[in-house]
Amino acid sequence: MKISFEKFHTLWNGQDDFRLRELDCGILLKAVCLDTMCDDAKVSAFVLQPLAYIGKAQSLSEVEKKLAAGTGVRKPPNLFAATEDFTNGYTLIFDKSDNCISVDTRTVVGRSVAEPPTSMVMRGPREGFVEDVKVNITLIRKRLKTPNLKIINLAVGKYTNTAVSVCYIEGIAEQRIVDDIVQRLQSVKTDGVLDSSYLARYLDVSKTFLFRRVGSTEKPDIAVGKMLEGRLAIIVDGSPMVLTVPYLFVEDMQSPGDYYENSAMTTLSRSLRFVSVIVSVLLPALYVCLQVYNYQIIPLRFLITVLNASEAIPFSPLTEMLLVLIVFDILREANLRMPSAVGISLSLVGAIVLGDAAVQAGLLGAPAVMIGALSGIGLFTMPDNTLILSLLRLVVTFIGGVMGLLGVIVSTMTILVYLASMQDYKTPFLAPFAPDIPEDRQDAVAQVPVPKMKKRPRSIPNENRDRRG
Amino acid sequence: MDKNRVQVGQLALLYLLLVMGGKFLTLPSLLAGDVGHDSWLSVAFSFVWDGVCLCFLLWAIKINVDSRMDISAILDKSVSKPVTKVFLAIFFVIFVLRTNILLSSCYKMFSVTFDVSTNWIVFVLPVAALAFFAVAKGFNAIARMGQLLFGLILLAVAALFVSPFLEMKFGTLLPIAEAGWGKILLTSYTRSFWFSDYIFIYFVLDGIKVKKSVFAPMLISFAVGAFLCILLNAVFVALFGYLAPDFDMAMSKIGVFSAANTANGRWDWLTLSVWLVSVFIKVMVFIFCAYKCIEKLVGANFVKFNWIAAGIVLSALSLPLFVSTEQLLDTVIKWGVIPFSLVQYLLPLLMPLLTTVAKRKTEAVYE
Amino acid sequence: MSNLKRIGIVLVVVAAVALVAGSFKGSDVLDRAIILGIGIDAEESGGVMLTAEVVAPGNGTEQVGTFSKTVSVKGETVNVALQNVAEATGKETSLGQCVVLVLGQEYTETVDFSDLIDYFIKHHSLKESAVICCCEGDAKELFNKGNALAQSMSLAIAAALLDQAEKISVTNNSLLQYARSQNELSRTGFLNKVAFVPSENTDGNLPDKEMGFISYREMCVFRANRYVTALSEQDVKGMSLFLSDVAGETFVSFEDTVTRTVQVTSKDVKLKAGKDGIEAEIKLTVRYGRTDSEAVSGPLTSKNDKEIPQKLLDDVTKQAAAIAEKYLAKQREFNFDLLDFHEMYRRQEGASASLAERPMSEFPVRLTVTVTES
Repeated sequence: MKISFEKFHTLWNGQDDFRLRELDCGILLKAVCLDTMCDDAKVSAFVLQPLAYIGKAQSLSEVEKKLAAGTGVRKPPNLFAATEDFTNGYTLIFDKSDNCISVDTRTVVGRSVAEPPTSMVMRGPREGFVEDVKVNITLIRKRLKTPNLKIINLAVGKYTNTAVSVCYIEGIAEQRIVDDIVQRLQSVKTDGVLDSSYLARYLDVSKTFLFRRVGSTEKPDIAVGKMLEGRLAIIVDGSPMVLTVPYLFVEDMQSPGDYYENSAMTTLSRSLRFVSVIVSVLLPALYVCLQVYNYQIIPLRFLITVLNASEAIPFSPLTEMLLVLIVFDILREANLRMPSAVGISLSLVGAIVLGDAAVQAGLLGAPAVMIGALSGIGLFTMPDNTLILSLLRLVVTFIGGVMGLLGVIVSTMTILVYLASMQDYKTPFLAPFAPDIPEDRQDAVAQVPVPKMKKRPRSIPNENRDRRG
Repeated sequence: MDKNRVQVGQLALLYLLLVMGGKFLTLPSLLAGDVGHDSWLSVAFSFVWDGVCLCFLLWAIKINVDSRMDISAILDKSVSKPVTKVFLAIFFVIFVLRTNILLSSCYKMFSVTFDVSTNWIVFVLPVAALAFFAVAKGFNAIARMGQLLFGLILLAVAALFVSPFLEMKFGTLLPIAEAGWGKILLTSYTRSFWFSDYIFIYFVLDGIKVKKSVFAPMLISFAVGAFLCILLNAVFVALFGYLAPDFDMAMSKIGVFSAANTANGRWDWLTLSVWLVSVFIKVMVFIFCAYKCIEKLVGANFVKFNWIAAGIVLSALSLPLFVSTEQLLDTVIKWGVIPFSLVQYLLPLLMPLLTTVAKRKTEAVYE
Repeated sequence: MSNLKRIGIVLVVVAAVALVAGSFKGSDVLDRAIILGIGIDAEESGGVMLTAEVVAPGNGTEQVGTFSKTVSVKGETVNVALQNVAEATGKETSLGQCVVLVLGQEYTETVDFSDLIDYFIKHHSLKESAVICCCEGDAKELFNKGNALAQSMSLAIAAALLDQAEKISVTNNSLLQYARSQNELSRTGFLNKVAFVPSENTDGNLPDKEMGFISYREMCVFRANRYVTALSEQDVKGMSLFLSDVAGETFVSFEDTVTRTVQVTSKDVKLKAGKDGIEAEIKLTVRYGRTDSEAVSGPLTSKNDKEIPQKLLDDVTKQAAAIAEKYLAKQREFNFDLLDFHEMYRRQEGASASLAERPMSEFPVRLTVTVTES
């Protein structure tokens, strides 16, 4: 395949970091590289030195054979691929008749592998993905020493040309899903992909945009665990977040540490997470609608506390609760953006002093502040969907405050119908509960000990259901 | 993915929710007014007949597994198109009327029990919006939601039931059939409007996904549902005696004596609202069926959500603005019992035959 | 999406929210006078004097002591009186948390209060499980003794009748049970009679403060909501012997110079209606009245060594049979049926006017009492 050096040269000449060396090794060769993307030592060791001592060569393919010191030497099929290699830090070597080879001379600039800050575990591996796709694949391959681990490399983004690797285990992941996802990624038309979350939007088949439909993890052990269940891992260069598809709602309830703990403990903590999420979404709404409509439900002694606390409040119960929730969201948002050095102290000040002062000043009732705070904290047991649930909580609270129990029932049912209707990549979002898949419930809320998990989940399409080989 | 597909297991759970959904509102007091403490017998008879019809309908499903014809295809091929339209029209009237009655009971429940007082339109609109949202998302979403909430609803029913059930003196129901067998049977016929919840199955016939057995899961859920309904009626009349005909919100009244009710806070209302979810599921299913009736009546296949059909169903739900529920029950439903029983009780018995005929004709065309 | 469409959607959403928000009328708890208990007294002009115990917040977050006040108003009917309560408190009344209905002595003895019971039993928010009782003297006076109890009078009465009464062998009545008893078959039923009993002031700091407690060992009998007779403490004890769900009766035996108390720990009562009358078989299980808790017993209790002499058991048998017979005689004398004899025959024959009118004298009772040690 011919790649016009002239064309290439016009494209890149004039850039500050564009380097061109002409060499005579029997035939005239031109070596080009981007100074900023290449490691000088590698260029010298893998390209220049071998070429200097090569003696007389007849053709470029002979040169290619002689470049034994370079690990990655290949022939890019077209100009597009050549450009991609070039921008990734490869050195391209052209001969006079526009034949081209590329030699891997990429520089390694980036973090070293460390424990990811978003998912700390008490027990279990502490390695986390980094921004470099190559390191990330290494981390996965370290754990999957099988030829069945397949990696499909793609480049996405017109300008960024970001390297995207789709990893899956052949014989476990369903081929149709793999094809579907690869085709979806290939058809992405965008200027650039700066993080894996950009691609997550494109992988959301039903275009819901409300709930997360693509899982993400920073831990290679989790990614491999998911691949072993039939999922695909999508690694995007420049992002330490590896995407996993298909994604289930219950995955957000599962913490990385769950698999390294006693299964009884895991069951307990997952149940707590479930309860706390449900309570967090519904409690403010119930509190408001019970005050406005059905105070008979509230036990008398608590009702008297509520009455005492809220008689002097200038707001209606609904306004009061919405205020508490919004203040909590403001605090959370501020806390997220504050430098970590002041973050902790300021969030404490915010939560305690502000809440207490509001109660003392008679602006908010103590029960409302308590319920708002409880509900706000409870949602964080579900890290991936916290934000959308806190939005839904506001909506349900508003509807509950206006329409009473009827509103709470109708809005909750609407959310459930919506969740139940979602199905991407042949995977129902609420599986294994709706539809009910009894075999899969062994690792949903309750967890059976690992030796008893003999089958792969049915809710994730896979080609081999037996976990034992 | 076909969004109207439903597994037999889901169908069974949904059927159970539907059986329990509407029958714990006004029906027990009406029956108690008719036959006193023998109302449970009347319910039992209705269920016996329901069970027979259900079996025939399940048989038809079994025949239809491979060919996956919908109700209008079966009737078109086995009888004729005009007859199909008549049947569909009756179905539409039944579904609209039942939804109206259900909603008006709910409306009363909310205004009387829960103090949520509003007008009919504003009450119906959010519920209808929910139902149409579900229609747009497909029957599968409704079935899945039923599956999701099933355990919770059953727990709520148990929490409401257990305490009054344990304290109930079954002797109160003696002597059996004091009202006379004839009257009891007649009542179960005149009140048949509330029964035969399986009619929704006609409209998902083409989407039923059969894995193993059709009969076992459906009949089990039918048996459980029937048992709970009979039990509730027994508990209700035993508990309230001469007052039973006056207490038209059976479930909320029974809640007063439930285990969830502590001396100073009515926690039973929370359990009651969980149970109310099953009533709303029933409303959703009936509205889905009414919508499907229109689709089949005009002979179209709505790929996208059809706003006109939804508008027709919605306007039919404003009936209680013009006619009171009592009037509806006394006139329309009283006279409608005969045409209704055509589709409620006669059609299921004929379904296996009709399905077989339709299937033969289809196969003949292909050959 | 075009801008026009977007504006259209926003308008529709705003209109829907406005419509919905404007059409729902909540009943904010702060605008409600939450009634805990209602007392009804006779009013000279023919109406009723209604005393309501209403929750009165405002003690900060304190919950101890009293958090309620009583309001007494007159009205031609209960409904009017409840409206007057709303006027007096400035808030709409709410009966959803009402736990007790107390009828004053004069009211119950002079008036046919069927309308009142009908009003309350069909009231949408009042719980059918609320306790109903009558009281000694005026209900208004009783409710005003709340301070002497240092707690809400309504909650105190409800707690006494619902939780404590059955442990000292007194049965109670919910509004529903009472309403049914006055309208079905024999149309007779009872109400517990509560009374405030003053006790000595033991508080040195407040020497003038009134103190006391609630007694509830007596009952009144009603037929079709009209007063029939009163049952003394001894009569109630006799009646309780026929009820297996209450226990705790005590019997005292004087023998030579020794006084012994035994307590009934559990009961097995069998009532059988036959053609020639009713067979009543009462088996009492007793033990010495020494323990703190009377309720620790039952069929699954382990056997212990017997220590009550047969003679004492015989004495208790005799006493029990005597009070039971005395009670039955009273039933016959005043022709009321609190033990559901009519109901037993209804289960066999079905309801009929002749059965409902059958006097108690036509139900001869053959009573056998046996007493064993637990």
